[in-house]
Amino acid sequence: MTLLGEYLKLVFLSLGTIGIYSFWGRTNVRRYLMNSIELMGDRFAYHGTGGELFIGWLKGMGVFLVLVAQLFLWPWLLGEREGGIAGMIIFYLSFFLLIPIVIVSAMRYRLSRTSWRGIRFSFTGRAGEFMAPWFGGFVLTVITLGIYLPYFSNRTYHYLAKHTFYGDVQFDYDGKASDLMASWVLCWILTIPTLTLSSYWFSVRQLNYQWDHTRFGVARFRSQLKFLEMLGLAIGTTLCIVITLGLGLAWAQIWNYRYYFNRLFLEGELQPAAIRQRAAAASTTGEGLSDVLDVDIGLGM
Amino acid sequence: MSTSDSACNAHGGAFPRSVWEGHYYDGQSAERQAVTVTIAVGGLSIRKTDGSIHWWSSSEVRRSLGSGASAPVRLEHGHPLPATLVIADPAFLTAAAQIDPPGRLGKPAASRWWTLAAMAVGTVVAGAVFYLWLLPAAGEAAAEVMPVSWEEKLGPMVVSTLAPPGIRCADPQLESAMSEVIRALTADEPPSPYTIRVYLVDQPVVNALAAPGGYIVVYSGLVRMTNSPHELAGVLAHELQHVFQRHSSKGLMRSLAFWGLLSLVLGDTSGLLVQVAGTVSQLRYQRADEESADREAMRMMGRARLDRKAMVTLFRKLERQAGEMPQVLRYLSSHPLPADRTAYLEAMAAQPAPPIRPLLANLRWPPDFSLCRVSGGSGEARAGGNRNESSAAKRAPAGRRPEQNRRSVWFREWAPAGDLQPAEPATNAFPMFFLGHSLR
Repeated sequence: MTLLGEYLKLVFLSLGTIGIYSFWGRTNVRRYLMNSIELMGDRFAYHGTGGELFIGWLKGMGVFLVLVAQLFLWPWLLGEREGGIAGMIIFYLSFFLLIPIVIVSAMRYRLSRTSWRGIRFSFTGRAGEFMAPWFGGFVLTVITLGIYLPYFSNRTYHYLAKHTFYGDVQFDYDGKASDLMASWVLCWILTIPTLTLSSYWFSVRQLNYQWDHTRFGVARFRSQLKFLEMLGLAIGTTLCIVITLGLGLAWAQIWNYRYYFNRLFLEGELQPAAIRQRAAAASTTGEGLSDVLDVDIGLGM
Repeated sequence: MSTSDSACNAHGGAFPRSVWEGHYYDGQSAERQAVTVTIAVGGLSIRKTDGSIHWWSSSEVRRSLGSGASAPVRLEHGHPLPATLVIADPAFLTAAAQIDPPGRLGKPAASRWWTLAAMAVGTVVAGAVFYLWLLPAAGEAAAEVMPVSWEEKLGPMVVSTLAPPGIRCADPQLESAMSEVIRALTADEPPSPYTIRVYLVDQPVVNALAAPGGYIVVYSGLVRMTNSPHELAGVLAHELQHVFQRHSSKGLMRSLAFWGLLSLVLGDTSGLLVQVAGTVSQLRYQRADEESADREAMRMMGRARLDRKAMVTLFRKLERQAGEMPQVLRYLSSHPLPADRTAYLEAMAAQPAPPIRPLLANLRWPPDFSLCRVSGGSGEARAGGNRNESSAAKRAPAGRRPEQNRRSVWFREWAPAGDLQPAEPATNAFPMFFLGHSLR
């Protein structure tokens, strides 16, 4: 079944089932796309199921409903005025607090459902560890009107990379934010004149940098994305999607994937025989208490 | 006849090839081992380079779907972390289907172009049905069920932002004029559960606005543009129609249904394209509501025996004031183009009508706003509260209530006349996505 077929099936059956099918349809799309990525002659595989996505969505809905319910609880307890304000503050603050939790949960879910040559990836990060540095970084970024962003971004990436495992081998990251500050300041100054295109330029630069400093064992990644090419790609894919009223999404995805992964390289020696499956990986296949937080609420495709 | 994937037997048919090259991954390490796979009845025999052989019984083999018909074949065996077998040539599956049909390793039928085409057409049709019929209908149904008391809580929020007590016009004479116009318009209408409250704001804005629950805000800029009370009546008729037809609530429900369904189908509605497409589609619904309000207002004016041509005159003035709007922007507009509105209103006004009755004949027009800051008025002109109670009892004795009234009776909070309080502006900070329908 081609990607276009999967997308058509996704939309068509989702409309017919008022959205229920979308979890299975989107899983099919993920599986298709993951399987189209090849490294050293072997393709990646995605092992998530529609059911898991559905349950993740239910959990997310549950949290959301609790937050909405508390909006009505406070006015009843504290009176209309104070209760209303308290409810709103808690509501928005909770969403904010959930962001790092969602990041960690989604990483854990997606990585544990991804494999290459039969060996699974895994993520050992925990929301508890991640929240404090994330908030600190966020607040600092806001206070400094964005100047702090490369540091925030770097710390986040560092945490995520170092807690990612393929089999029993850990990823490593040796990037430093100071390397990017010059570019960032330039971008920041040019934000308004370039109508925020400079921040897109910076994000491409940062992405390349982060990949270039990510190591796996003795091997290194190398990313050679080019800003102008990506800009052209973004425009082209948007036009394609608009003109075809959405049916062109399949082509757009393929173009994006093809561009991105054809410019990502792994250099250096890998010793596949020495990479073992993690024993703990067995428990991340859907059973166990860890599964409660091991959740993908289904944002994005 | 190719000899690489089949061989001729003595009967002249072709044997499917049973021996294939592949790669084996044992699920314990990332090592890739070249293997030879033999398809046998009941399973697969996997022979490694060191001579050892694994047997995979067909019933235990799982095929994982990948990226399409031309991708390598990927088979898994075992729990919880399986061993994997990859065969580069998809023709393997055809051979397996022929040698071991019960093994169900066969290739699923490739999607034919007409299946894709049928699904594409089906998607477009289903999408159209949802968008043009189902979502609006769901929004309407949900809004019908929404209690009037909920709307009456939303209205004050809009009013407190747009017409806070500080800038309301508190001239009792103007207040009673507004009430009189409302009464003139609604006297012969079926009873409604709404208490209409009109707030006049002395600001040079040429607009008026209806919020849920019967709360209407009128700006003096608009009143000053009118040449007769009938023109003002046209404005109020339009806003009253927004109230009676519950456009705000329906719009809200439609919007929720739309974005809810979209987020389920797409999984992510934060993309710019989705936002733009969604907003544009909501604007289309809103334009339909505005046109409906225009037309029903015109009919209401006719029933109230007020001057319908006055409404046309007013809209022509508004059209001139708006100036040229490029036609293409009509799809981004929340209202129909002024020229179009004047056109259909004019067509309606051209039809014969009963004689016009006078309205506010004793008041100089345009009215004087200099007394706005004089205290003595509440800043709110109200009509319809007491009237509903008594006239509902007169007009619709039990057992013969009109349909509309029966529905509204469920949710109408009856209060003794005289106890109806002016609405307190809500002070909670609920997000102010805009709930009002303006004139233009």
